[in-house]
Amino acid sequence: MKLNRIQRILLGCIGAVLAFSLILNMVSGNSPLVSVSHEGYGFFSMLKYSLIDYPIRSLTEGFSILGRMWALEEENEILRQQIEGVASMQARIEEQQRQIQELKEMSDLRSVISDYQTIPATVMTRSAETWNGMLTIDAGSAEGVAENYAVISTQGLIGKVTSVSEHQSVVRLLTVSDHSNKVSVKIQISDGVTANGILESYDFDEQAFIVKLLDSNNTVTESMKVTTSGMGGFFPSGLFIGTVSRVEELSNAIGMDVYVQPAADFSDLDYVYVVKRLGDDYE
Amino acid sequence: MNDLIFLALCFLLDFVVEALFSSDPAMVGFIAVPSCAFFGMLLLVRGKNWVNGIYWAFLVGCCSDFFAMNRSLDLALLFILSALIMRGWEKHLSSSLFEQMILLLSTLFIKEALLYLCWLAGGSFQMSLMTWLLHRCIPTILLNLVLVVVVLEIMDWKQEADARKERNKRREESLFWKKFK
Repeated sequence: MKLNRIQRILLGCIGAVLAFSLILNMVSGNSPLVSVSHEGYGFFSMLKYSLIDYPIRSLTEGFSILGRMWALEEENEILRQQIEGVASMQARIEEQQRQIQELKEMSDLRSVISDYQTIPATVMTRSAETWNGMLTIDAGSAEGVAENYAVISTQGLIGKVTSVSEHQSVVRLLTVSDHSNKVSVKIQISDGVTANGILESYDFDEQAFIVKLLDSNNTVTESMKVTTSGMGGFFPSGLFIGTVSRVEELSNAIGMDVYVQPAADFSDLDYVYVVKRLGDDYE
Repeated sequence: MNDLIFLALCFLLDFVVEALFSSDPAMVGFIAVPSCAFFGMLLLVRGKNWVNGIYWAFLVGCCSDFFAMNRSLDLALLFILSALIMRGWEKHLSSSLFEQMILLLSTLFIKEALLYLCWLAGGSFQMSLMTWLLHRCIPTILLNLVLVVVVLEIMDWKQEADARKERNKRREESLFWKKFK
């Protein structure tokens, strides 16, 4: 079939656009299409959430509530026992916060790396194509969200904000291994003793994060808790990531890989919190 | 116009199925990706010449990249490759329901395999072949076993609408010429 001039030009343009996009993706990972597409994507995701996702989610939640009615009494009993412990926990937390505030005043500190405030948000859309690990939340710059803020669920850290518009933000999950997606962490070895490391990637076969230790002299064992260290400059310290599930010595014997079971349930992300680290040197 | 409506219905079906079955990015459970838009693109490409087929595959791929918040045009490239592969195979198959299902699901498997190879080449994922097969590929094929029938049914309606439109056009033409008899 002979191609006319316009067909040849169009095919050439398609080829050029695809090649350009592939090269940019390999080189820098940030395509100029990003800023173009995010403008339109905000409107589309609002429309999709209000017309499709929200009605369907409400319907499925309604059915699951009906199905759980038989177990309500047992759930209520468990919750009642947990609530009884809340008052004393709250008093302890308030006392600790008061002591931290006193220490800050004594040391003339305006903030510490564990200071943060949370901005609640609802997950609007999440692509079924999971390799890019993106989801859209309904909090943006108007609510105080900015790029590189950590995002947590009620169970633990899930990712960070990569782009922000006025009322929406796009979050990149930790399950995507990317040079810009590393997190500085610390492993609680014992009271007052921690080991620092870098959370580098997620292993789908092990279903765990891989943490490279910065100092291999520490003895890390299973069930130790892993939290953010705050050393990276973006995330506050103390955000729970998960627990150690396995430790593997590297063949070169100068380091070890620590496999960390995520605390967050990535399949159930309806409501999240954006963590804004407080401190004058964060912006 | 009917082509665009058909594709819009396929995308809508994808969105509804995605909302019903939430994905698990950590792949602790299974991930089944609805691919009605992909099937719709393949069915449209079947009825066109290869150049127009590339244009449609690129357009639908770009839309899929946009809806998936993808930063690059990976799906656009994969859709074009899948369309070209399918055009090579379709000559050997007839238009019966069963053979169309085999053709579409095989092309979907090829697309998923190419996507997996792109992940590995990009270095963004550490995932063995067995994990990919068990947690992603097989659940996706099983889910789309049902969806492909729905898409083929919608395609039949579209073809009937096209045939009806063509008949009306022919009738209007013959009425026009009768005035001059």
